[in-house]
Amino acid sequence: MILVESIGDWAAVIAYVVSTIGLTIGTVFRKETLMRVGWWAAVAGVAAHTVAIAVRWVRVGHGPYLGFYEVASLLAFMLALGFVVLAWRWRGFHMAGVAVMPVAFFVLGGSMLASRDAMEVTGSLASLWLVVHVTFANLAFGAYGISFALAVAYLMKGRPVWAALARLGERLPDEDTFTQLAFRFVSAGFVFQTVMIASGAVWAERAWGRYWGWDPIEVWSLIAWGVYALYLHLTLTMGWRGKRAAWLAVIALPVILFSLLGVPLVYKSIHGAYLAI
Amino acid sequence: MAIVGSVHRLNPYRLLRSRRLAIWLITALGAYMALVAAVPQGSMISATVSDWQTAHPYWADVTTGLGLHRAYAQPWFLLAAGLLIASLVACSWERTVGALREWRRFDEVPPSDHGAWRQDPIALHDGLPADVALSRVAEAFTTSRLRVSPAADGLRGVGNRWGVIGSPLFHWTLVLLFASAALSQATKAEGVMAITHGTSKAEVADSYGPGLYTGPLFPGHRENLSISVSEAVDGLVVDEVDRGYAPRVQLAVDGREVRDHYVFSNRPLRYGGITVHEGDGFGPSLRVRLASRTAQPTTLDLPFVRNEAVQYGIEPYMAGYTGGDGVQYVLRIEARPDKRMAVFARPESQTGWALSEEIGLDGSIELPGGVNFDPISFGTYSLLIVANDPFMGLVIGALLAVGVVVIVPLFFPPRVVWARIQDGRLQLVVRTRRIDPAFANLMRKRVTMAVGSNQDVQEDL
Repeated sequence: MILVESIGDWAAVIAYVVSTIGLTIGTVFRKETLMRVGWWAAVAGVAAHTVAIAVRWVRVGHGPYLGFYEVASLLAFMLALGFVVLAWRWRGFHMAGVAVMPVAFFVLGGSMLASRDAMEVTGSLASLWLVVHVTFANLAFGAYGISFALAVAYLMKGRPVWAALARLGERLPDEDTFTQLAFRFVSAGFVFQTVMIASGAVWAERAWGRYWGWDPIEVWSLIAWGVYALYLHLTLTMGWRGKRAAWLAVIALPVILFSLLGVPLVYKSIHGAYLAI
Repeated sequence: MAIVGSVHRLNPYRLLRSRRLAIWLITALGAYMALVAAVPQGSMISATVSDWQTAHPYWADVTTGLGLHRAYAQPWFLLAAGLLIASLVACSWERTVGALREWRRFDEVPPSDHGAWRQDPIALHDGLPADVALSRVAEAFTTSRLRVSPAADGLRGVGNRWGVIGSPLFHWTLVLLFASAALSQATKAEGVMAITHGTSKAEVADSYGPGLYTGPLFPGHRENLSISVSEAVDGLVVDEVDRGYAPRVQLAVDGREVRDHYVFSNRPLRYGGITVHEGDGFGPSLRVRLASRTAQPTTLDLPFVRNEAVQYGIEPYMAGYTGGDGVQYVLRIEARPDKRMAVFARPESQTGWALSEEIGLDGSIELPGGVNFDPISFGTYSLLIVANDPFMGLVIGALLAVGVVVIVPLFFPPRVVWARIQDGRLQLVVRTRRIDPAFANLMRKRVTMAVGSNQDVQEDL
């Protein structure tokens, strides 16, 4: 099973690299065929990644919640899956993969550098809140990842490359749809992240005796939540539209990515045990 | 860009409800938190902070000078956070007033939309009678999950009416969360309590170690409530999972036992505002008799200080006693080979130990304050985190409410559509939230498909 898991991971990494190359060259040189190859490579990568995650789930006896490898791998999966679904539904969004797939590749590749030993569910980890907390963290990241992809596609729209790529889809969304979809996915991500933080606080009280401890991961989760709250307020009440809103969605993704993966690498955190390298 | 307009400066309420103020405060607080996340938080004597300061001597002066190791207790942070919460209250109130106004007039076409009747009327399919057209419109409304009812001169479709209160409700739950957290902080007492197995302690201040936090509005300890530890299992297995160290804790009120179970991570013991968590610690303890000339002798069970670094803000456990001179003293004992011990004591207001002496079980020493220290026997203690927090349940409830209510404003925007036929054309007015801009187009397309002469419309949303 370990071999299948490794093959699945490596196949996914290679597919994500092929996807990145295909989408990038296709975008730069306006080659529709390469864009399609890039998307299909992403599909193949997601399929292989699904196998790797499922096999590991069965092997270690718990979901991909524990350790840097599992957590980062699942985040990369959510990002790649988000792109595949988005570009399948609106084929004009293939170009968004230029920004999304390299991130998925680096996150998955980075996860594979960490220890792949199975972590046991013990002590404070033995709680259903773990499942709720981590599931919503991944859902939030997936939704924010799609909003990032939409924003990137939006910012690329209007450039010379767009006209050529427009032929990719018969039902290419208009500008309003871009903005609206990005907003919807940020909204969904915000709901998921709110549930993630709230459930984490309830869990922390049960496990450690305090619902909030200003731990670096908690702080950065709150910062990321604040950034997306700003996005919602600026678009809903201050009338931010178009490029300004898109740039905010682009800037926000590294913040949530850092809060989920970067903080335990940089800071000493009580959450470090869950993201142990 | 000016943060607030000159008008806002004249009117505190308008200043507080200003969206710009809230946005700037969120940005400033976010930037501050990002900065101080790099600095470990805690008291200056905690191992985490002192280790960090040793490793970063250049930054230590800066972080100490600015109080960044207690960054979230600094006046500027509390001021900005307080201002943000006040702004949140003002915004919530404003949203509530607006929502109530909207709720009352939900069925009416707002005067501002009266002009919309005449915008882009839909030409009816040739020969389609008005009553048939309206019934098809009603079907289109139903398909869009709108509740259809007759209006003055046509139809009305309503969806998610209760979504009107979604945004204020979410903002009020945030207010509730902050208020309950502040209330909890102000009215609770929380600290570590080392209880030797087979003994019990009353829920009073003296039972806790130094570092007991007591909120300014704390109503008082529950002297009739006692906490006991009968035994402990290291590596307790429950549901095939190793739960680690688990003391078995009993809670009694007026001598009557009300709770009894093993306490471990994710399984605290709770009773009427009292929460007992396993404190990540156990070790040898010492039964000792303290006697002074001015007070009755007392028997104490004192824990030995553990040698390893203590994590998560739990300081090395120390006990306290009141000297014959009325001064509060801190007492610390460390294990030494051959059942001997080192005893340290100092006034609570000082940092250096006034006494440091090594004795055996059969020895006796006089502590500062004229108190005699007579060791009796060794035992084992479990370290517990005990919180007397009457509002803990409210905080947890508010957290859950925030997680649930956030769904309403973002996923259930209120929608109203009015339709009427005039001069052989269908007129439509759609009212929804800015969050839901596609709905107007969608309704127009669906209605056009149902009754319009132009059937070449596709739903692409």
